[in-house]
Amino acid sequence: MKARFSTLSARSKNSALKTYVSASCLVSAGLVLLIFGLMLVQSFPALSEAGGTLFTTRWNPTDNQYGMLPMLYGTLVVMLIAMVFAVPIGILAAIYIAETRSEKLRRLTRSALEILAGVPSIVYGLIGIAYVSVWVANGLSLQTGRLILTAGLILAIMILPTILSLTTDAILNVPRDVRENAQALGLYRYEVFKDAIWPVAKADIAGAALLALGRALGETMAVMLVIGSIDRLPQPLYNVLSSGQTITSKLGREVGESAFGSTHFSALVLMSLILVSITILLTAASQHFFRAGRHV
Amino acid sequence: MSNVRRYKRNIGDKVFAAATRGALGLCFAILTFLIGAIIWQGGKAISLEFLLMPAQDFGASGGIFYQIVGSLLLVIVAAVLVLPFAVGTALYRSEYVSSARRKRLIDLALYSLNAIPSVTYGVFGLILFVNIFGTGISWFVGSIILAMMMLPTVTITAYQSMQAISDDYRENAAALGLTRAQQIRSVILPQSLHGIVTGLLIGLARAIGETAPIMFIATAFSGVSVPRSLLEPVASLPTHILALAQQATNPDALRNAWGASLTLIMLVMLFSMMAYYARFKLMTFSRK
Amino acid sequence: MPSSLKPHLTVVDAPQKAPAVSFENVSVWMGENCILSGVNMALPEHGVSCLVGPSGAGKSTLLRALNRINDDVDGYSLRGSVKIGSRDIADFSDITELRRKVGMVFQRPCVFPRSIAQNVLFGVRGVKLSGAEKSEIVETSLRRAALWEEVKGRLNQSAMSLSLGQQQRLCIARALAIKPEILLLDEPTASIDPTSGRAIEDLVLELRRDTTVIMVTHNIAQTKRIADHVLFLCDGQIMEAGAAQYMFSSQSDEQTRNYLGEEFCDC
Repeated sequence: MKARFSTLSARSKNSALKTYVSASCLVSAGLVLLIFGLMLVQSFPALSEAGGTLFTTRWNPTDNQYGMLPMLYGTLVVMLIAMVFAVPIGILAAIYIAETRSEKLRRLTRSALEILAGVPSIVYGLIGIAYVSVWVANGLSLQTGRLILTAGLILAIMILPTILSLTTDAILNVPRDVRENAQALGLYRYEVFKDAIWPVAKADIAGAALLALGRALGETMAVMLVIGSIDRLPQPLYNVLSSGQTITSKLGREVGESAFGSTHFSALVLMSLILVSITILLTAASQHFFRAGRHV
Repeated sequence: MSNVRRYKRNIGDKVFAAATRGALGLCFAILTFLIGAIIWQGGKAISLEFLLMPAQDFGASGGIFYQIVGSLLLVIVAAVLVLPFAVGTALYRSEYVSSARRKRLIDLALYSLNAIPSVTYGVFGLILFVNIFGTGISWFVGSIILAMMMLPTVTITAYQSMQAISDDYRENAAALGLTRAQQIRSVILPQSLHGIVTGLLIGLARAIGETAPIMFIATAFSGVSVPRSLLEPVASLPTHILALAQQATNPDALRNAWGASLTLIMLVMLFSMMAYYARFKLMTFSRK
Repeated sequence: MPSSLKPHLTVVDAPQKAPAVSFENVSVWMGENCILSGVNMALPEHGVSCLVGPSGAGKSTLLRALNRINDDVDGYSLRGSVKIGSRDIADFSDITELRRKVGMVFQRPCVFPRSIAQNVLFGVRGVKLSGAEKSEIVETSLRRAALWEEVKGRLNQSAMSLSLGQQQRLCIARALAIKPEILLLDEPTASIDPTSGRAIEDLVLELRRDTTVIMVTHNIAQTKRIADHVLFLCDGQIMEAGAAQYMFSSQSDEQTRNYLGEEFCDC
């Protein structure tokens, strides 16, 4: 009734609201482009002035040397270590949680994972400094525990909850029929899992692993505190017991100290751009796997 | 022969069971260690004075009062800033867009925002605000950046609660002659309020623990109290922990780092519990 | 066919041979809910026994108790004794041994995303087999499941390409490949087309010569066509059980007659 009398103002309200919602959506979507665009522009100086030195192993701003290879390599190795520990442990534990008949244990694990998800990354860094790096140093009789290995271990702990909870969901999402049909044929538990459940769940599990990898890749604080921050390739290359640097730890250490507009700053922005591109690609790939899993 | 193979199958099963159980045990051991260490170490540092006193001696003594104030200021202002954009985007995605392609595009943007590493947000804020706009180190810029980081979480949660509203309501409201705006005001917003509030609180819980996005652009380690203008730096818990962790050889600094960590986690838990509570309380309220 | 089933609730009447399947005072709970209470029954070797009754009567639960497929369900508990031959099913320390004796086919066909031959061999494990032996198992099982003629040319194609009716027969072939003594069928024709349903009925009539078939069905006409024995369940109890001829005659219990008769009229 009220609408009747205020048709005009209702109509203008209607279009005002439409303008507001489309504008805010435009802003949200535009943010991504803005971030990318700005970083692209800002990384130009590095490409033009230091393009030749970018893919070398020496990083020395005073010499105009901006070799990013140690950071790229460090990122790769740290990710690898984190995944090597977190993926198998996460998947095995998820199998137990998904297959147990105890609803209580499942609920307990869910709340534990929610607590873990609330621990900020800086606190993981503190734990890395106060415990993990000390254990590594003492256990291996080294002078310092701030190593590539330590960073990998801390990251493994940090991404374990993601892998665990998404893999549990992936296994629980497998239709009950599949499990029961395999059980009814007299298969042992591990055969049921390996031959009936895994083929259905593996796409979702791959998605979970990629998502976790994406998170690990962007993780800054914890890595920065425990990796030792040395811009050199380890000698020999597989020596994970040496200090190193990742893209994120480099950014965390140096962005605040470099002058805006300098080649140094530009080189750091370029690294950040590389990082974002990889992370978004990984997220897209994991979404692809999740969708592929839906269709089975 | 058949017996031999069957024996092997049995072994495989035992190994499998032991491996899964061992992995879960390891996970629980890690969890217990993490929570135990934080509570044990933090508990030794926390006292009423610690929470209510300003930091002294570069954090090694005194408390974390201004860090708590700064952190809360940063995230609460961020929540206020993100609210209109998140609700607007969610409404647009839920009530106005019909083309599947456009929906996918919006999702892509939100997922990308979610995937961008937190340190990149810091670099972005440093370039755009601190340097191009010339704001200098400013807590308000920190809030803007944290609002950007919260945007996908709040939007997606709000959107999901709007999608959960049955189309019957929309059709009935439209049949009564309500305009789109009136439908949104009288049906959609009240019924998705719980999702919006929950999303905001989850966003707050995440944002308050972030260090990387604010450490270049919004915070200072010492000599700051409550800011008197938008363009002053503040102190915050995560950056305070970072600074103390870097002096880890000093046992007093380390102790206070643990105290600040426990305080930070308790704030995260507080927001998470409020989110949990909002999800149920507001939902039953709005569905009445 | 001689029947050890008597027209009343308890049917343990000391037959010459031990019954193939017997339930002694079996009660089943899901958490607080009592699904089956005090079930007593004994089924002879071979032949087809049909479990009929309204939805929620506990038919599927009774069937699923037999191969302990509910063991992994939180809150599931069974009291009383279920025996296969003279052996209590709770005594199987290796549950897969029980499940190799008691095959089961479910309401909805569920083939694995592999080839037809691999599906048939899915449960055949624990013995090393030559290629010829494998082919023989595949062929025999598919023949017994009346599917061989339709698929013999494409054994290596994905089982997902089969029609639903064919998939259900493949599920039966898969169960037969492990040579079960007892075959449990949980509404095997409910989710497939009538023609395939008839094909499955025909093959059940073949199987009854050497296998004890226990089948849950909602279809009274089907029961009439293939059952040797009928058990009528209601509210978690066996209301009446007996030979098919008896159960469909006018001498049976009134409730049974109403159920069987009414459903029969619908057909």
